[in-house]
Amino acid sequence: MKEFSQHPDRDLLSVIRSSDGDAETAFRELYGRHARRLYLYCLRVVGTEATARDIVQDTFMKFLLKVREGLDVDSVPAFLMTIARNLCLNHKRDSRTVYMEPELVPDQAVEHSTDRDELKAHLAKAMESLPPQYRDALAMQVYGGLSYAAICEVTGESLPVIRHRISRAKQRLRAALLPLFAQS
Amino acid sequence: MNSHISELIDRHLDQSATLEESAELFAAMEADPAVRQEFQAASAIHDLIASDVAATPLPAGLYSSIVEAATIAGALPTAAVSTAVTAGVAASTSSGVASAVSATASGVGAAIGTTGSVIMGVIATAAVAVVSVVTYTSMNEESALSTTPVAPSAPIPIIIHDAAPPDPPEIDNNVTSSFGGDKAVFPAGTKQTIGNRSTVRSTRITDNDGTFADASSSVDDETESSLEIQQVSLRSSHNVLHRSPSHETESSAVTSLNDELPSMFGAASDKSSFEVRLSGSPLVSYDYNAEPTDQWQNAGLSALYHLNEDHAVGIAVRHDVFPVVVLRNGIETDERTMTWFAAQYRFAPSINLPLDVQPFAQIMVGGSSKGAMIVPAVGLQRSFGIASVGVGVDVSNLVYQNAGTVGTATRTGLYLDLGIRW
Repeated sequence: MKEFSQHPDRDLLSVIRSSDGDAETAFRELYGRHARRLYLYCLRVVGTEATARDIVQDTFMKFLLKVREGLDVDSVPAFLMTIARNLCLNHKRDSRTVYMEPELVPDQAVEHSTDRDELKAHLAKAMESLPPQYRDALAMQVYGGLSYAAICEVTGESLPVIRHRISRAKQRLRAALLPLFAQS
Repeated sequence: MNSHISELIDRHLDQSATLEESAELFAAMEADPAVRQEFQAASAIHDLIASDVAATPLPAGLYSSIVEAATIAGALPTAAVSTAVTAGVAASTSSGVASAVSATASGVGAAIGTTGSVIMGVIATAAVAVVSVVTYTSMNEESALSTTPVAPSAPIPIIIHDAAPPDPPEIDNNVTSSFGGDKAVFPAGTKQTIGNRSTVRSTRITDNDGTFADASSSVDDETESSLEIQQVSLRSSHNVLHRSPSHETESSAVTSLNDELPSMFGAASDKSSFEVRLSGSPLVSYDYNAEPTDQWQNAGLSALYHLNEDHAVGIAVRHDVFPVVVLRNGIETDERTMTWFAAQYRFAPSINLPLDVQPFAQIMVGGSSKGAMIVPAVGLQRSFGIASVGVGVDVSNLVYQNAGTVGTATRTGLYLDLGIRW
């Protein structure tokens, strides 16, 4: 079994496409590189571990099928994120999730034992309260680990737009959580 | 809060701030408690997200289920799986991981082949094979690629359960809190400890655009547990990694997107692209003294090559109306319209303005047999996916020859354009 840890994504795709005995090993390496970020993004967007898990599984399935079809993938993380994002959007559309307005975010303490957990809960709620486009771009950056360029590729938006959205999202998060930090 | 300061805070936390920007931020913090408070909040959020990322594991068994489903769907070659199974028996038996490999009815033949190799592999490694019934809902290629929910298929009758490949150890993709930099720079006289930070030290490197790349090249079971969490105070050991805009950190081990992406620091990306822009000047400053359709004749088409996100060069063809009367062979001739060719340069800096708008400035220099044209324009543009719309003002300057003397004409106008970029 070959060792692929030093190989770039492109080489791994070639191995997967070639259908030889190392395909699974190459896929395993790709999975190791990108699955965690993908899962974090999905978890942040859909909110439940089971759904995030299902979406990540479907994402890799679609990814593999496309690769085996011979699709030339320039950027694996961006391509994976594109699939995952579409699945997340479909899921949210199907589940008819309603996003809270910032002012509707409850500020009461949540049932967590530590201040940090409480802050995390507030952070999650503040994230949920962001406009979808802002939240999506921010989640892709901080949870999905994508660069601005990759986010542009995934969303089809220009770099200034993405920079603006992420910047505004961070500002809104700060504004929402500032009172908590001031208290603590 | 000043959005510029907010941006400085983000850039500082993302390690994309220059020395000057960090100095500016620290000066602002020193002068304004509100800035300090915002920095504290931003820093805490940054840490919170980092710890959130670090504390979230991948679900157990996810990899195995993907491989199983991929095998069934034909997305991974069966031979590869049998190889992996054989190789993975020892590891999976020791880790207690066992899952089912199933086959669809259409894949029975292949599965039988797999069975043989699996059994041989199991015997060779003296491992125990477990037979069980699975109810995994297989995906065929069509359903897997569909974005609609996948309908369950019939139960799968043939089950060969052996040791499926175990989940690979996770490569930690944690967002580092990112203050393990090169230089510590603090403004003189900074008295306050602004906040405690949690720094996750790992082999991560940070992109110049503030995102985080996987520097881990080896898959190590101990990756997660080897992370060292340190509490450091901002003032005492809060190191700041500064990078100049032209500096780019690369590692041969970085195999993620960043291998293929240029530095995204600051405004510009080196990613080039093409754009076609249709422009027009429906309102201009002078009296045409005639044709009602004149204003619609100020139009042009440009083909631009984007050197990066900010700068584009290209060529343009324009048709403009100028109320210029020239002497041709002693006869006054109305040279109202002019079709001319130009070289074009367009600069659209990545500046965040409300409503996702960004400014642009451009200049077209060219001419025709009638004269030379220089047309600078400034305005605002907004992108809608691959399309963008610009609104601004332009100043058209025509230099022409008139019976041996040089004449000039200038007009200002409303500049509109529409671009498609790919």
